[in-house]
Amino acid sequence: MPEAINGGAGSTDTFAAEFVLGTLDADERRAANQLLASDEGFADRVRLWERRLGELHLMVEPVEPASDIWQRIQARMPEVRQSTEMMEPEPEPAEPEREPEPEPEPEPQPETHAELHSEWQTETALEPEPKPQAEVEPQSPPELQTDPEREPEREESQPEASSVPEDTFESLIAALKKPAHKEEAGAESEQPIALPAAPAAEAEQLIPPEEPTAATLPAAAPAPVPAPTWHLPPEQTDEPPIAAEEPPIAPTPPFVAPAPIDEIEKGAEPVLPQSVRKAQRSLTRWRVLAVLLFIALAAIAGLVAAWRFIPDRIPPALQLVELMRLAGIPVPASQPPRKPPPPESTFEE
Amino acid sequence: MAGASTPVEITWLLAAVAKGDAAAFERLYAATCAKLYGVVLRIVRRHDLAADVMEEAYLRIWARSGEFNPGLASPLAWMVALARRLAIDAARLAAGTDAEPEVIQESEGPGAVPRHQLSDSLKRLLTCIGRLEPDRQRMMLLAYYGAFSRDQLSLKLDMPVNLLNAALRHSLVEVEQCLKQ
Repeated sequence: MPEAINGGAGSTDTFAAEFVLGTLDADERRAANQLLASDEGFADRVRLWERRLGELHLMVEPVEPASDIWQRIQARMPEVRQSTEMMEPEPEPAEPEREPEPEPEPEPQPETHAELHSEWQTETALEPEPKPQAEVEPQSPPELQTDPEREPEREESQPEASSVPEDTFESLIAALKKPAHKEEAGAESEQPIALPAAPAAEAEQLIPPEEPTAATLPAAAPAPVPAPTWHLPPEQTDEPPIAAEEPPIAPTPPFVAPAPIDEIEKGAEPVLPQSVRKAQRSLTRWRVLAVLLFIALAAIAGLVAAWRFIPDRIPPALQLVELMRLAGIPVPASQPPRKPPPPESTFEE
Repeated sequence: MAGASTPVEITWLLAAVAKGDAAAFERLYAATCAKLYGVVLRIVRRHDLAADVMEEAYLRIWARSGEFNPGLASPLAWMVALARRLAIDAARLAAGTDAEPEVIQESEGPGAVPRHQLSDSLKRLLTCIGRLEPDRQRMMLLAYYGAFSRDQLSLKLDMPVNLLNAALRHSLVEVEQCLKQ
């Protein structure tokens, strides 16, 4: 056992925490990986710490990887999948739209990406290619963007965040910046990690939360911001920071595209999250309601048209007069022939 | 790009991937690769290694997406955790085998995040880390983002290893206590 374990009470937990944090050396990690495979309790502790520290990834700015990585992954997808496919007997997919077997394609990633977009668009029969970002944002319904899955995760009760001065985050992140010794711009053009050390004044300008995209933000320490800005209205909080290359109607496809839903309904094992299934059910209900309303509307329209154009051929029960009587509207028994004009008018002529 | 996809979308994609939907997997990759690459690159600090780790990580995601439990973690956090494990292992392995110079400039810390992207749990975590002494705050974040071993950390922070060990354990316990409050 590595020495990290021999530290006394609760040290298994520390070992798991350090495994997640990343401070174990090569030997200790090897031991931890073995433990992970054999000791369910240790695996649970590791997962717990991964959950605790997991959100820190939000502060890592994305870096576009080289496009050939996807091709390498794609080439190996079938072999990797084989083993898992044996386990779950899956009905042979008959849909022609989706290729059931991933074939390694030599195209560069951007192209396949665009292809994918257009595929979604034809499936959902919606707007044409040019970035309809302006229309997209309001479309995305807020309930899709809130994260229902996060709730159960709150097993640790909320510490009173307000009791800690607001600027702890800034100092926290600023503390990381202190030895910005080797920050020269790299020779490599795509070198993403050497980040501009922005002076505090610049950093302040960057802070308004609506503007900065995660990609363009330098690694500036967030300048002090009044607390209220955290509690933004949901539309703002959920605004995707970079949406230029997003699929046009990102949140909708899973709910509209027939293929995944069909497959999911057929599937034997319940992999789907609860929220997704709920959304599917309510979607089905709305569809049925819409169809029924449409049928009713069509029937009424047909009736009205019949009254107007072929009043003689309507069965007596559906005659306008009959219906009006049914509804309690008094109707004169028959249209009296036009009364003769009153005497005064005849008098003048 | 990763920030533009909501957790619900990624959960959907993962569910489809678990069913063997290759198109969904490509979408999942497109939506998340930049985030994962950012995380991995910080740890392995070499593009070639980072590419290997990415390949391995996504193949695992492809094979094991059915194991993701949306009730326990956010989908991106799950993917990041999976990639981090591989990345740290790869970094240790590379450090052991050769003394090749680091291709990527090390970075000290994370980037700034627009306020609205800070999730509640991240705010809580940062609050708890913020209660540590400044040196320890820095140690914790350096450890997470760079995944430096204790020896590397003690060099970086100019702190004897045994002191660093103690500080690390203390900090972890304190953060845990704080999160449990």
